[in-house]
Amino acid sequence: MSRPTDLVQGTLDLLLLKILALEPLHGWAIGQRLRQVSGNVLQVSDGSLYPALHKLENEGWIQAEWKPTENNRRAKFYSLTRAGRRQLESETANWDRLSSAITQVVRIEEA
Amino acid sequence: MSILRTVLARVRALRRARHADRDLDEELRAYVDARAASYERQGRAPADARRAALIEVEGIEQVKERVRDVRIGSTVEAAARDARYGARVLWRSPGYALIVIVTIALGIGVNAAIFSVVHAVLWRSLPYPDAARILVIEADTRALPSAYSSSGPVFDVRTQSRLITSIAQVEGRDASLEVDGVMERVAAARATDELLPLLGATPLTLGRTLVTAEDAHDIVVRGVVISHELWQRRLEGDPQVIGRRLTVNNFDVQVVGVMRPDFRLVLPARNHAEERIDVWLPRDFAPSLLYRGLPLVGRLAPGASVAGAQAELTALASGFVAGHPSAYPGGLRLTVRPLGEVVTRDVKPALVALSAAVGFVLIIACVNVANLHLARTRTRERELAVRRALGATRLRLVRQLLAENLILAVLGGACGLLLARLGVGALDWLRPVHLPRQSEIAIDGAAMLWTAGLTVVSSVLFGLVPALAFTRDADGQPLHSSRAGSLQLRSRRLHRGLVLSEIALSIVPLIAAGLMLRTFANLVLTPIGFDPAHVVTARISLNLGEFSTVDRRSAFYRDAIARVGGLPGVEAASIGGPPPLAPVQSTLRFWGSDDGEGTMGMHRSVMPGYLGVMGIPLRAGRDISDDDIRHRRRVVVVDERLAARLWHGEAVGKRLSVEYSKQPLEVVGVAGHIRARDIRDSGTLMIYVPSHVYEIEQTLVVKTRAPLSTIGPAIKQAVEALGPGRPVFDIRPMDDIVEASIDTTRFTMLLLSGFGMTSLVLAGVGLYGTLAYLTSQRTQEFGVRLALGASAGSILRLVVREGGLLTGLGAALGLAGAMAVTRALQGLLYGVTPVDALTIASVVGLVAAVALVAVGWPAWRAACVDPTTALRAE
Repeated sequence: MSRPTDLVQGTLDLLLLKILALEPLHGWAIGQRLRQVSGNVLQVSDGSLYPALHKLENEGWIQAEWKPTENNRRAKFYSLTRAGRRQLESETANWDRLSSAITQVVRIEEA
Repeated sequence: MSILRTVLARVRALRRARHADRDLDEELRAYVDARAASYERQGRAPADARRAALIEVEGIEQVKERVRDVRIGSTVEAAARDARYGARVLWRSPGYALIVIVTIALGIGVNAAIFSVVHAVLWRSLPYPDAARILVIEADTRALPSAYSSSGPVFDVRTQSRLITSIAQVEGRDASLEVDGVMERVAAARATDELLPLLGATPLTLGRTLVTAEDAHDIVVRGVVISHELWQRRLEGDPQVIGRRLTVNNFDVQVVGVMRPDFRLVLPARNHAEERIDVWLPRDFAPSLLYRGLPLVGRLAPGASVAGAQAELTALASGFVAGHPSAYPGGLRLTVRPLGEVVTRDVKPALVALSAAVGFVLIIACVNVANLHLARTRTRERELAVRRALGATRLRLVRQLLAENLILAVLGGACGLLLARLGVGALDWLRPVHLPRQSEIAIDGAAMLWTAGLTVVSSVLFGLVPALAFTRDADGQPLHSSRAGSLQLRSRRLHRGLVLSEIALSIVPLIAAGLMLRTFANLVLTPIGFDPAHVVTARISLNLGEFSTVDRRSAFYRDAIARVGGLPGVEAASIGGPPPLAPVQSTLRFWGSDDGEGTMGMHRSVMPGYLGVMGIPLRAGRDISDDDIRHRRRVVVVDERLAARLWHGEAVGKRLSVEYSKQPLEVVGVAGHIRARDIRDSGTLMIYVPSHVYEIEQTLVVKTRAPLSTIGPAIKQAVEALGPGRPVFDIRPMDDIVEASIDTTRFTMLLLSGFGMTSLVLAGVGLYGTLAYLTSQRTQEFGVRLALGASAGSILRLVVREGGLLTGLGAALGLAGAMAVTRALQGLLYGVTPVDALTIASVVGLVAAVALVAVGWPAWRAACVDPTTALRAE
């Protein structure tokens, strides 16, 4: 299981933005969804999730709203703002560049 | 727009901060609940599920702490990063940083200094309860404007005015004080009973205020109130001091009260009252219609307005004139104004002029820095473009540039504050005459606040415009285009506009300074009718108990003159007073044979030889002689203008009546006219009467070329050796007195010149810097021109024309502005009009000279460019 500290720096932001781009979610559900879509590879610890969410909110990329959950509890739902969507696009592009570059490097045949 | 939105979001975030914590708490609890619920669904017991959830979360408080770090950290840390980076950037270009800091320090320093003066003198309310309702009543008669009221009308105003209550008179002067045989001169004031309660001095620290009925008997003073400072200094703060006996002005008096510490007497300049009074003497209203020169202070009755009080006084004044037509032949106008306004009336025009001048200095400094900053940012264009391309937002870059500016501005502001402190300290050295409340001038909280505000505003002013201008054309464009020609027309125009306005702005304070300089020169060069050079004055206070008769006093004066006249190095000596142009002058009315209303003028009480020592020429007849004194003859020497006015010049042998002498005086001589009241005032007439005719506290006048340090003590010793009860004090050159009389002008002139020169230097530096920069940007162009056959001379002409055009246009604009502004100086000027050809010509010449240097050097360098180097540059 990958701890967030093992994540490439900045990728947590990208992951959270991407998850929230799909639909607004509350904190617990974000963690669940991340695990689910990554096939149980990526899991973010609770101690890192909230600071990261609040940082994104501070940057104006996501916004929060109190809403009832599916089982009728109140929870804070996060959703992407327009600035967040732009940020997601640029970070995705960055990631593509970076990951393909890393892949390229890693795949070099050893002589 | 995005800046605005961010700012709004931050503001909202701040407002939410209080709720944020509770909100977060709730959010995390909801999270734990959700997680626990999921464990429950997996079949765990509720308590167990909850515990597991909490363990997974790693503690709600710990998470909250980390969230807080992120929230606060992002702004604070970004600011710290900006500051750190800004400091590093500036550290790498110390020359730029230094010039900017010095420029800002100059601009802010002069503003902080003048602000602290204006704040203390003009704005802060007087240190009295309900100070806005304290009024000053002045009387204008046709012959003598602002003469203040005579005591006669005072009587009537006191009894008849319903809108002005507790009217008081006060007269400042010094007094001799003797405690346990040790004598000193102290500042004293004679005040009517109402004054101290009116100014809120009650309750006193000890005892009671003055009650004339008990503390004075005719002219003999019996009781005095002393200052807290004097009580501490001379009477050791004795708690039993009430009733203690002192000797004041040779009267045996007892202390009836001790004032509160820090009580200050702030009165109009014409009162000549010190702000720190040590001894308060009782004074009664004298029912005389003739005496003039005393101020009148009152308090506006509850519910009354100044306008209402004025209407009432106007009605009363016409009543007085109707009742005493001979006393007010020229009519009488009583005017009432708030004390604060009257106190500052004399210095206000000068302070307003100075405030305007420092405003100009600050604007020029800001324009200068903006210009420098613009040029510098241009050279960093690449850096900014790279950072922009790497993803820095525009806000980020603007913030970065502003952070650099703020660092510079704060450093400059701090240096400015130091400068202001020095400046305020230098006020003592400039010794402006009667700048009210000068002791209160300090760089205090208000001045600090003002400085801080100026610093921030100016840094934004000079920083924001270039910062915005540069980050606008963002997207990558300048990355590759830093070759010559990239300097767009727009920014060249901006540079030129800034320099132009700098020159224009510097012209205004320079013209003002020039006019003051001319005024001062006119005052110094105006013939004053007497020769103050090498004349030393010294005051003598006679113990009236010892010198109880006129003859004894006259005999003493003769002895003193003989003793002092015999001192080595003394050319001549006499006695007479008060010295011309000294602050305290008294006026009187006199009549020729039959002119009904008489003439107002001044008088001197003199001994023989006074005219000679003072260098006042005798036009006809003779001086007052020793015989006149011995036989107590009632004679007089009149001024040539008076002789012309009353007797068409044939004055000798005529008779002149004065208000204090029942018999008329016989005119024995005619003297040259002197300016005794104010150098600006050439019209006031003068008479010289023998000292026995009008007795005052006298002044020795000594013509000597010996230095004051040796002759001063010699004079004191020579007179005091004659016996006790005749202390000599306040020994000072006549030159000093003359100089002191034009101190306010000197003060204004010096400061305005300083500010004018500062503006000129700043504008010169700005012109030089800008031209040097613009020219250096065109190095390559010049290289091409030279390579294609242009002569060095033509390049020189090109640059000089640019500089000359900027200077010329700026100067023209500045002159137009100065015409509009300097009219406000009118009241401060003497012998020169606001539109003065000489001043304008000199200022234009000066600016042209500075411009020549500022333009010439870059032009010369441009002309000396080596074409091959220039073409290869960049």
